[in-house]
Amino acid sequence: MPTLLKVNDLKKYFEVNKGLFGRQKSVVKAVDGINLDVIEGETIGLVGESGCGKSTTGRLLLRLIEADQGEIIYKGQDLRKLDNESLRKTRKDMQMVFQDPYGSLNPRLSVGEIIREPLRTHFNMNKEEQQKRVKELLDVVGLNQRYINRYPHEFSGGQRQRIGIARALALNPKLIIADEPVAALDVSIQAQVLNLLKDLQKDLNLTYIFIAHDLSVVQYISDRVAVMYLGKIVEIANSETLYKNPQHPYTKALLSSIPVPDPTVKRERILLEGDVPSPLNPPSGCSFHTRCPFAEQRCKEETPSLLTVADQHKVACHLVN
Amino acid sequence: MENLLEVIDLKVTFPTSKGRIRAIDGVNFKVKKGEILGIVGESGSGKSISSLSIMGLISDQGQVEGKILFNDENLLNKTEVEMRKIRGDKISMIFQDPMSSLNPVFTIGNQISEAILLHNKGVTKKEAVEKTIELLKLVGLPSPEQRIHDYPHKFSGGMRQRAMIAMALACEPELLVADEPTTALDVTIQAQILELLKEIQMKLGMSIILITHDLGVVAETCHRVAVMYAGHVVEETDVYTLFANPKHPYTKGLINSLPKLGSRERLTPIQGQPPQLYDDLTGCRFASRCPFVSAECLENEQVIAEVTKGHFVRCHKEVG
Repeated sequence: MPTLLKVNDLKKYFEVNKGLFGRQKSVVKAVDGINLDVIEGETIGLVGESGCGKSTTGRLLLRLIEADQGEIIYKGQDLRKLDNESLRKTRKDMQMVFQDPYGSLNPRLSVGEIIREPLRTHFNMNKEEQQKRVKELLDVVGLNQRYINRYPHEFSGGQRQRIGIARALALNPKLIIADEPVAALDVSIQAQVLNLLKDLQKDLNLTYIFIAHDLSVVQYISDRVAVMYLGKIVEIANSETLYKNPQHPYTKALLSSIPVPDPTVKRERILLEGDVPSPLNPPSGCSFHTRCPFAEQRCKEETPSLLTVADQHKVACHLVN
Repeated sequence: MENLLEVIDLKVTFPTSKGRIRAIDGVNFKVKKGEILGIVGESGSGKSISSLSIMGLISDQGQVEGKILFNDENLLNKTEVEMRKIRGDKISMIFQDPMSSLNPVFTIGNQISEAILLHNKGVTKKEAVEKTIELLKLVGLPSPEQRIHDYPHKFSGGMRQRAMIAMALACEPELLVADEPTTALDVTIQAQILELLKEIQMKLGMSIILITHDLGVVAETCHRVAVMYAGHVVEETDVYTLFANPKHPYTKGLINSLPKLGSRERLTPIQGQPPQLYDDLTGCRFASRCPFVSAECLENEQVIAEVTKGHFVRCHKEVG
């Protein structure tokens, strides 16, 4: 399968003001050198805890915020070098689904108008064609066509997320970046939306970048999973490999922290000490060494790079490589 | 084991512009001494309203009926002054959001020792501070001697929740109500807090009501579980039976909706959405989403009944 999107050494540093009157400047390395190949038709999951840079990465890829360094190569061209007009055209292929189904829909627009908007800005369609397409899209995401004139507040969280998905699909995109699309939903509704996303992928040959903090959800939907910690990818592997044979101590701890809905399973739990360090002041060397149960002297000094350990399996850890 | 808390036929309604909402409609459950009872359910199922009723924190518009027996005394007959003595002393609560449940303008030490000073006459300030340090040590906060002088904004989410737990434990309560205590936390921190709750429960022998939407959390921490749906307890049993042999179609649906680690088999979601809880509801509240629905379910409301020893289910099909 060909590569759809290639990300090389992507970096985003935010400047923050600190101290009295904000005179001191310091830097948050939100995304600190990410390399990623997204293959056509696959789902790649980005997981990590709050502040690891997973959402920032998603936004950087669409240039919703500008990166400081690196390349985002889509169809042979670097998105970061495109001018506004060609970026607008390329963006048609890439759409986003947001976490908060309450905040990401304009309350003053009806469902029909919300889904029609991208059609208006990108396609040369007349009113009837637009209306027809909107109805089609409502069908695709499992919403009744009768709802076309209703407003977002009349819908539940799950239904709103379907509206958000319909809007993203309006332009026949190739790539969808879904940032925590099910985190705000109840489990029974979450399962409905996850199944919908899977079905759409099969029918429309979509590629997903699926960003979430819930490893069991990511593992369910993704073909490959990248685990992030403090702005870096620490491990990337096939979904199954990652679950069965995690290599990085952080991935192991993350997996063992997930509560399993089966009381008969007694697991050896790796409890991490303390919290994720502040990205304002990340630890030297391997950024995980402050919480790693196996850290050695070397981990404090040298930053490990993401190296291949097996086919399609890369890990950034001195102890593994 | 003795019952510490018994909730009998609890009903809570709230007036809205569209009529009264029956947030809780005849809920029964028990908490034994030294046990962790989990209450699971989705948004709007009434799990938080149950816990607020126990604490006597339902706002004035809310109408509360039924009985809440705590050590055989009905809490609903207590005056506000009497409740204030019980809250924080015999029953205490920790909330979901550790950011907004701490007062930003007082130090952590100040806030914890306040509870000790309020509920124990004759304790000096110095003793209260010592006790505070001891409590913070118990909940695993590093270097508590220094940290008591810090304000909440200096604490991370996990540390704040530890401070909240310390505060709740200040008067050695008999019952701790924890409403989604780990929902706002990252998984690795959640694991720490859940371990801490279990450890403290063993050490102090108190009872805990753990309210959560996460079946995984229930499976790992609770002894018994009550599953709530649309203002009813639909199933109540011990944790092993619940997962090995769930009886209510909602419980089954909930378990099937969960992605399981290591498996990518297609999920079976529950179709549809929960009903709105206005006055005119008839029949089983799960009927509109239930795959096994029959005419009987739409007409008559089933009461919760014991199907095998200690296993209570609210379903026509199971109870007959």
